[in-house]
Amino acid sequence: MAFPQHVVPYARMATEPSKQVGFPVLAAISAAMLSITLYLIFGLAPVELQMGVVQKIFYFHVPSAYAMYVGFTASAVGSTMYLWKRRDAWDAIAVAGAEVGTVFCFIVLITGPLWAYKAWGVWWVWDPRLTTTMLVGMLFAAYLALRGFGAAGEVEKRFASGLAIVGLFILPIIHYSVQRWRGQHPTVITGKGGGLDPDMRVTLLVSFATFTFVVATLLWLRFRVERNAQRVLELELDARERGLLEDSW
Amino acid sequence: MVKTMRTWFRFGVLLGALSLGAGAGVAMAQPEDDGAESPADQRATSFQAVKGPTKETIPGGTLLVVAYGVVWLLVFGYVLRVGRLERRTAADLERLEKMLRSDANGGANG
Repeated sequence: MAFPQHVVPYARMATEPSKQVGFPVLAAISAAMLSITLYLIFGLAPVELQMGVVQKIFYFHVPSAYAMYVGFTASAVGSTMYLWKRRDAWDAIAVAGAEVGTVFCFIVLITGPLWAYKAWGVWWVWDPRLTTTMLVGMLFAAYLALRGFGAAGEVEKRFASGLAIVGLFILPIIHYSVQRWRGQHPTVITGKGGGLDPDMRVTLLVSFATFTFVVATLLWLRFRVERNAQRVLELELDARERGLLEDSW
Repeated sequence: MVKTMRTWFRFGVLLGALSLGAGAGVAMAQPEDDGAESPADQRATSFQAVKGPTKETIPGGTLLVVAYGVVWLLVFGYVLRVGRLERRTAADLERLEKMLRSDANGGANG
């Protein structure tokens, strides 16, 4: 019986991560940028006149929403390409994007009400932007639940891909909801906004740059793990065919 | 007895109608925009820096600390979870690779 040649590079990739230089560099840049951003938020950016110190949530809340967009878009693009090409790498991108996007969606949905309690006097209102953000979060939570049932089969993968593509269509609705519909969400940086203090603007821009690196790092990390998980499944199938593993499914 | 019941029924219907009418009247009397919601062009469009000392009624500092705590908890919790998953898949790959290699060597020798 011939030894499967594809086993060797798989294992080498998993057991020798030190050869991959790009990821540690990206992670280091992200960590450094996070430190700089924290300094700018608490050292440079002034306290806001109306809301006070709680406005500083803004510097993580808004870039988290942007990171959520990036994650969910990556998931939808990966899903579309998977449905078209049927390559596992695209599916890994879709899973990574959905998971990372959901983490940032949780951050948005938790930090937003903490700000709202101070600004509006209530934790939550059914504002169009808040509601659509919660909707897309629930959609991708459903995606992850579907993919979380052990080894997802082809049907689950296709169905989850459909969910991710639907989620992509909700993203512009979230973005333009503050301009199109009545609600309470501030429009400081969207629509007719732009009224930021110069130091606040610098801090926000640096925070956006930081979250770009952070979301890229997380997507890369999660993609790598998903690819390894896919290879584990392939090798398990191989081992089962050779009678080396007992059938447990 | 029947007449009394009918009278009470009519009274109840009248009271219900009046209540509905009053409710509808109050609702109609409200301005269309009650201040809870406003069009995009009427909402906050700027954040300005504070000048001088301020006094807060709702503790903004506590809310800020909780918000940043949640952010760090979620991000680092997620990184730890993915790191653990990576170690597990790497170990699985190594185990399967050894298993398949030994099987291939055995097949080649046999």
